[in-house]
Amino acid sequence: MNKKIDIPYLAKLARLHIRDDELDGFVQDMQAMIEMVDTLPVEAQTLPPQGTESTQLRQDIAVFGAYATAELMKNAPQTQSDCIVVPRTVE
Amino acid sequence: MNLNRKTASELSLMLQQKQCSAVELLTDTQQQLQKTEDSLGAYITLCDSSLQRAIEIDNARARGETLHPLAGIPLAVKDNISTKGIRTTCGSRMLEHYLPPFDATVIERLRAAGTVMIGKTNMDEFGMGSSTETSYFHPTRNPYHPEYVPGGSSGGSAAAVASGEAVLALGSDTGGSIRQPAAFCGVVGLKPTYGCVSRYGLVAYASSLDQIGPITRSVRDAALFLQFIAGYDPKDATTARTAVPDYTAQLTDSVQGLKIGVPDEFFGDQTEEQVKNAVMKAIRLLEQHGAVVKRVSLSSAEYALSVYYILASAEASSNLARFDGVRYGHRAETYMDLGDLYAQSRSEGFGDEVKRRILLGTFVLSAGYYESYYRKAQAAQLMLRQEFETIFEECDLIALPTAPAPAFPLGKHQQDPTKLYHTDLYTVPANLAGLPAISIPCGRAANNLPIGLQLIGRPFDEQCILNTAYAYEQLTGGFPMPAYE
Repeated sequence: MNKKIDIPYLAKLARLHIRDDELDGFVQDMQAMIEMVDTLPVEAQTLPPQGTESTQLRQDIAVFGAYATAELMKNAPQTQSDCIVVPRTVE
Repeated sequence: MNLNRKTASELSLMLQQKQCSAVELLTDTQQQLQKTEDSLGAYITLCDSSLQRAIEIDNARARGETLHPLAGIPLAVKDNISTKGIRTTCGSRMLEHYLPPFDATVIERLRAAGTVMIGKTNMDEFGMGSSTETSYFHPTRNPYHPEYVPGGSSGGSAAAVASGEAVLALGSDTGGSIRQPAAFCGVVGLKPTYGCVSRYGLVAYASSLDQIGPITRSVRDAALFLQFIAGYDPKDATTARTAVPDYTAQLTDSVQGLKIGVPDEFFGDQTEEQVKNAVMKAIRLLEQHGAVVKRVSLSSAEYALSVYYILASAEASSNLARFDGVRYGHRAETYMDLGDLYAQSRSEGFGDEVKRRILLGTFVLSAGYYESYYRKAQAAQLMLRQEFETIFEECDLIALPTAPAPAFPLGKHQQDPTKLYHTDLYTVPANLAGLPAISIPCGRAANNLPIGLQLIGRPFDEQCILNTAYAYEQLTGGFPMPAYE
C-alpha cells in the first residue's frame, strides 16, 4: 500500500509544530512506520462479535477535598489567585 | 560485606536475624552507586529521604515490631510511576519538574511494607523505546558493557538491579519494557497478567497493554515482590477481583510432567544462532528433568508487531493529549494564542520518538484509515489471543527467546526507528494477549552479553512461569552479577 503521509495535517490534528527542516525526516520515518504496520492480513478486516464480559466500574461520584488546592496548583506553570492562567481566548 | 550483591530474599533473612541493619544495607548500596552510577546512568533522581527511612526501619525492628519481609530492602522505581513529592519525569522534558501530589497504589503498598526507595530510574521517554536512549536526560549503559544499551524502556531499573545500585526495582511493560531490559542486563523481569497489578499512578502510555512488574536478581525475589504489589485496587477498574496466591510459599522446582510449548515461529532466521542455541539448551535442560516439550505454532505472531504499533500508538496519541502546557508539565515561553500555547509546549516538551508515535497514532485513527488500520489491528489481536488459547489447551506454558538478539551498541538504531521496533518482536505477543511472561538469564553471547529465556503462561497463572523459572534457576545454580572492581 503506498499512501501519501500528510505530516502537516497530522501535526495539526495532534497539536504539534513540525519545523520545515524536520519535515523530510518525519515524512521518511512515518513512511517506514506505515510500511511496517501495513502487513495485516485482509481477513482480519471483519472483527468477530465482542465478548459480553465488561469491566466493573466504580460509582461515578466526585471526591472533594482529597488534595489541597495549593498542592494541586504547585505543578501549574502559571497561576493567579488559585486559578491557572492561560492566554485570553475571548476579546 | 558486599550486601548489594545478595538477593532480597537473602537480605530479608539477614535483616530479620540482625546480621545487618537497613542502614548498613542502604550504605552498602549507595557506595556501589557512587562507584558505578557515573558510567551507568541508571537513575534520573535520587531520594533524599532514604537514610531517614532506613533509620525508621531499624528503630522499629529494635523495638521488636513485626516487620514486613521487604522492610529495609533498597528499591528503585521506574520514573513513570507516581511518587508523592518526588519528581516523576517519564524521561521527558515535558515532566522535568513534575511533583505528583499522590502515590501510585504500588508505591503506597511498598511504602507500607517498609522498602527503602533509592531513587527514580531512567527510561525511554514515556516508555517509547527499547534502549533507554530516547530519555530526555541521558542514555543508560549496559552493566556488562558500557558501549551497549541496557534495553528499554525500563533500562534504568534493569541496570540498577544488575549492577547492585538497587536490590529490587519496579518497571512497567507495554510491549516488553520489563522483559527485554531484564534479558539484556542478565536479571529477572516479570510482566504480570493484565489486571494483576494496579496501574493507578502509572503514567499511561497504552492503557490496554501497560502493566507494572518486578525486576529482580532471583526468581524467588520476583515471587516475593509480586506478592505485595498484586491484587484488586478500587482505584483501577481493570484490576481483577481475585485472591492473590502465595507465590513464594507455592514455589517449587519440580517440572515433572510440565508441558512446554515451543513455537517454531520464534526460532527462524530473525533469531540469532547464539540466542536460539542458548534458549534451546535451557528448554532441553527442563526436558531432561521431566518436562514434556511440544512444538507448537503461533502463526499470528507474524502480525504482532504491526498490531502492537497500531494499537499502542493510537492509545498514546490519546493518552498524551493531556500534556498541553496548561495544568502541569512544560509550558512554552512564547506563543501567540491558546492553540499555539498547546502546540508550542508539546513540540518543545516531547522528543522525536514520542512525536513519531503520536503522529502514527493520529494517522491510524484518522478518517479514512481507522477501518484499515485500527479495526484490522483489533481483529488481528483477537486472532492472536485465540491462538494462545488453543496452545494452552495442550500446554502449560510457552518458551521462547525474550529478544531475537542480545543487547546492541549504543546509537546503532538511531537512524532507523523501525529497526529498533523489531527488538520487541518476541515480547509484544504477551502484551497483546494480556498474558503473564517472565524473562530469566539463560546464557551469554560471544561478547559476554546476557541472553534471556522468556516463559509465557495462562492468564493469572504467574505461579506456573515462576515455578518453571525457579526450577531452571536451581538447576543452573543461580544468575551471576557482572563483575565490578
